[in-house]
Amino acid sequence: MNNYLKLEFRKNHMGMLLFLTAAFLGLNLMWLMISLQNPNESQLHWGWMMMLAQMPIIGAVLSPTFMAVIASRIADVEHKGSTFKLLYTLQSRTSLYHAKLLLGMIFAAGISIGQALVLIAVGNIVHFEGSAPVEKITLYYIMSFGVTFASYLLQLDLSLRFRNQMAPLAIGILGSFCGLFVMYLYQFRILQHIVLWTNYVTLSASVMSSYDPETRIVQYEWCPVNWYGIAAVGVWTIMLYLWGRRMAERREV
Amino acid sequence: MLKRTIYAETKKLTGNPVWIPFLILPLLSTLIGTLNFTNNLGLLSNTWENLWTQNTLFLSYFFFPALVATCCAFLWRMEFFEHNMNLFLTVPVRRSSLILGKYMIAVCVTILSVLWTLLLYLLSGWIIGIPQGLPKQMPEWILCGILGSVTICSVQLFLSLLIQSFAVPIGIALAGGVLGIGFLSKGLANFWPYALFAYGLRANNPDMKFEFLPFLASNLIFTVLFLLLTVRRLKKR
Repeated sequence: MNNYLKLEFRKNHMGMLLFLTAAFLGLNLMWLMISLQNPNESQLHWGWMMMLAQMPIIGAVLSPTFMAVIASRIADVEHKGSTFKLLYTLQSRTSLYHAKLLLGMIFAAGISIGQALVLIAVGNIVHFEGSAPVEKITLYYIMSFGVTFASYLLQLDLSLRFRNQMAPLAIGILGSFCGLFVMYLYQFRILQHIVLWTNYVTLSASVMSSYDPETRIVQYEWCPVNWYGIAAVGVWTIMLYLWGRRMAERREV
Repeated sequence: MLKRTIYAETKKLTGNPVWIPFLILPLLSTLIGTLNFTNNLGLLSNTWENLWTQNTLFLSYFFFPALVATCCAFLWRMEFFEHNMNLFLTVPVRRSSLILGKYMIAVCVTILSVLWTLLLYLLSGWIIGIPQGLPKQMPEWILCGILGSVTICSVQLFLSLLIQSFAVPIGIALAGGVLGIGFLSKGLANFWPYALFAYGLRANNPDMKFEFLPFLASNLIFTVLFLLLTVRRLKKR
């Protein structure tokens, strides 16, 4: 597997993928900095919790499309060169799928670690009250990694399935939007878990607990670990893996 | 000649469901916006202007540039496959006409999408029963939104030809849309092509101060510049 993974690194122009990842993290940083241009006392007081409530929304907006872009690039290299026929005579079908999956997993992990570091950096630049809640941040980004990886899996499966990359990319963009839409349907908790992309928010570490429209003061509270959300992401991941593996095994070339 | 290239491009797209995301995305945007609007009627007043903001905010900042990018990338992708580019470049047609053929298709799809967004907006306002009449500035929002979307088409057409990857220009468009928020918040929307769509639509604030001439000039400059760059790039192949 190690060799196959190395081959994937060589096949995909890593410079472009790394540039995209850096740009993605830069966007996260910029978004947070814009939202905290002139922080008031309340924002500084609730800073860490506010960030942990905001980051899932940023994740839900940006990550699915970004993972769709990464997955499309990793899968499209085979479509462009019509290399499936050749590769399947040199390596097992599942090993090719697993190598692409591993490569995406590395990117998903890199993004999650990068986002956590961006959050801590912003908190220290803006001087939020208190020290960074490292435990909460770590826990959230482990769960966020799960959602990002599951959305990568979905996009990889679709990108390998369709030669026309418009379909998976459009699904990625629409998925982001669906995630946002369902996020507002508070009364349908089950639906929020079923829609993969909304789980960035359902697994959030903190949430707004009250808002006073007159004084515009917002308060936050920590959320307990959402086991239903974790289970939903787990089920999604297993199903998508099995589907992708089955497609790879039965692919006609 | 241009007519023929447009006809050829429409032929290439026959059977390709390029239009489906452009149909679904504004629909989702309207659903989210209207739901958010009705849920926050205590904070927002029941006006067409507020409904417009809710319906177009997410769409114009994050998703529309990426969707236009998908369409433009798809228009080029057909040429990058199976040596089609050789055929494309050897047809006895000027390069500028070839580019304009693709450009016109992208423009038509995006214009229809903006008009579809408008129709959904009117329908949603009618369903929830907004009491006042329609805002007088509405035709201006739409016209400016169309101008902004047309500019994004020219930028993405160039990027998709330059990078020759389907996915990367879409990532750039997403990033461009997000960066556009920064340019808009600093009052520099006219200097960033991805911010022009949201600025033209007045997605953030329908009553914002808006100067049409600098906006029009910015759109013209970006559109002409990127179309010329696209033609130049194609000539160099």
